[in-house]
Amino acid sequence: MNAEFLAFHGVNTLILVLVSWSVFIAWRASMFTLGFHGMVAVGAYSAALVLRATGTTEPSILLFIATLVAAAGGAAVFALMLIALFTRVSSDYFAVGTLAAAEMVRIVLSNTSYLGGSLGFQTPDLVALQHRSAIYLVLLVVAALLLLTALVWYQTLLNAPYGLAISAVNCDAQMAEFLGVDSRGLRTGIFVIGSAFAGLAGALTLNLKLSVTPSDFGFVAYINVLLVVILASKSHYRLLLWGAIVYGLAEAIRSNVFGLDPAIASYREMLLASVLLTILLVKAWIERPSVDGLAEAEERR
Amino acid sequence: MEDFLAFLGKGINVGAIYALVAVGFTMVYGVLRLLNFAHSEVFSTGAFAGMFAYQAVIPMALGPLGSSVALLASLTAGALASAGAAVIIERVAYRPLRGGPTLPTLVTTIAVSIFLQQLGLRTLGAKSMAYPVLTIVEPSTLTLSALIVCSGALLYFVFRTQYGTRIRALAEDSALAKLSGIRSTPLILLTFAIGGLIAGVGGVAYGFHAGRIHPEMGFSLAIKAFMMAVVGTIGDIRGAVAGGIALGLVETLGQVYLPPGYTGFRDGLAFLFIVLFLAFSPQGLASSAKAIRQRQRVKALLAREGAATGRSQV
Repeated sequence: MNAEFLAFHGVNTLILVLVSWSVFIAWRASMFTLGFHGMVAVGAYSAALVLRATGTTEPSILLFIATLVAAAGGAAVFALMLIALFTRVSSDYFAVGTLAAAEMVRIVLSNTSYLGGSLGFQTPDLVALQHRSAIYLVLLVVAALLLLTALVWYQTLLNAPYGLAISAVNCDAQMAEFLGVDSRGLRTGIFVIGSAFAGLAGALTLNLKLSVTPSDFGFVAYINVLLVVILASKSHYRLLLWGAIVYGLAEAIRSNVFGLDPAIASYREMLLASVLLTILLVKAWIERPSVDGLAEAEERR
Repeated sequence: MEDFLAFLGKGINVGAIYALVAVGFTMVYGVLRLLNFAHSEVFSTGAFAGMFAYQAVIPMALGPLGSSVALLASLTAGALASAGAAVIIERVAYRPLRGGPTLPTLVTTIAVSIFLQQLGLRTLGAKSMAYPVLTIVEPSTLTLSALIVCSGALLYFVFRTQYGTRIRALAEDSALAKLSGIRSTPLILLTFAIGGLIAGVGGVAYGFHAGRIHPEMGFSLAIKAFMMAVVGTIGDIRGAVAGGIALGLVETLGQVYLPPGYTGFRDGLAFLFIVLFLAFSPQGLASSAKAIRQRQRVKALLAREGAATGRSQV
């Protein structure tokens, strides 16, 4: 395990944290989305579009920043479009709508020759450093700074009266509206900002792997995000961070022990699905109401 | 014009397969309010079971009735395997979570779907398999007949039998249904089994129609079918059938009339249709139709009342 390996997996883990966090806050604001992979794709391809438009092959830190800005902007605009389209759609229907929109994005990208079609897009290294490990380290620092910004913003939001408003919307949106909370505005804001961070994760993915293909953004490829978010459930986001870090470590160990053995790699999704299933069933079993609890509930009724 | 009619027929045929899958989704959602993503793998199970049954029976069945017997065996095996799979999934993965929050249950359905899909890939291989060629009847006739028979039988069952009434009662108000002495667990199992049966028939019809099947085929097809169940107002059987056929038509006509070089957008067109439909009619086809009918009834009532008042004033 060398520095390059650690830095690479560090960036990957932080990318996972960013995407999971964006889904987590959207779900907490009752914006149940299943189209988060679409946000990451829009972010990555917005960044790729900047590189394609400038036609650069030389490293440029300004361009690197431009890719991040484009990614965040692209994903935020896409999120706003979804909100505008699905104004009257909520809960499961919103999840389905966002999933359809994300799948549509993937199909459009697969058929857009300007961005490489299904073969994807290759990018130059924008960070001008001699060793790959140093480049990964820069990306790690950038990812950590972005995550810190996201967390500080969210914590500030929770500490402000908005925090209570989010909890109120999460508990009962209709009641919150009766009490004067602008639930729609609040939800829109959180969804758009969360999507912008998912877009940033897309740009980081592009700069880390130096290539993107539409198949990188399939729904199944992002099952790890669901795993982490469900693990954290609706509790505090710290659990989400720990979950993502543990998962990232497990992935690093897996690739260190088994390398890129396709036979092992092919079991990744199956293993993840089994772990997810086990967690959900065990959680349901632990949280099942006790006999006393049931009797109490019956009495109350 | 003849071409257009031919494409229309093809579209209805493709739509019939979507409809067969969408009906299962809609039934489960109607009763449990659960988006069962694993229904896609139930569908695939049926397609594979049907194929194996057909291949097993055809060498044994002799004479002119051989193909008919093999087709019957294929449909029966597909339907039973899918129903079995749906019941096992309900028992193992969903029942422990029943009554809990929606989100974990929904993610469970996704996890079950991915697990089964990957299991299929490991055991059956990633390459697509050739489906037997149907000689006794055209695949399009089989698909349409399957849709007509299945949806007719289902509508009869749901609206004309005692069990159907109980299922509707459970879907309408589960608490009240339980207070009235209706046992929910067997009915939920029955709902899953019926949805599975129809998906299995759909899987076999799809196999004969497409000519090739593979373990991953169910996911994208079922996602579209499921979205069509949403479009047709989820929980409404007739809406699911209408939604499925609408999607088949959009896809087929889109593929034909899209300019050359844009045919790759065919799937995107289907998703675009879903997005736009949800945007403009969030409660789905059946709900919109119901709302229009209600509005017309109110208008007619008001007009009648207005006329009556006018007469009395005169």
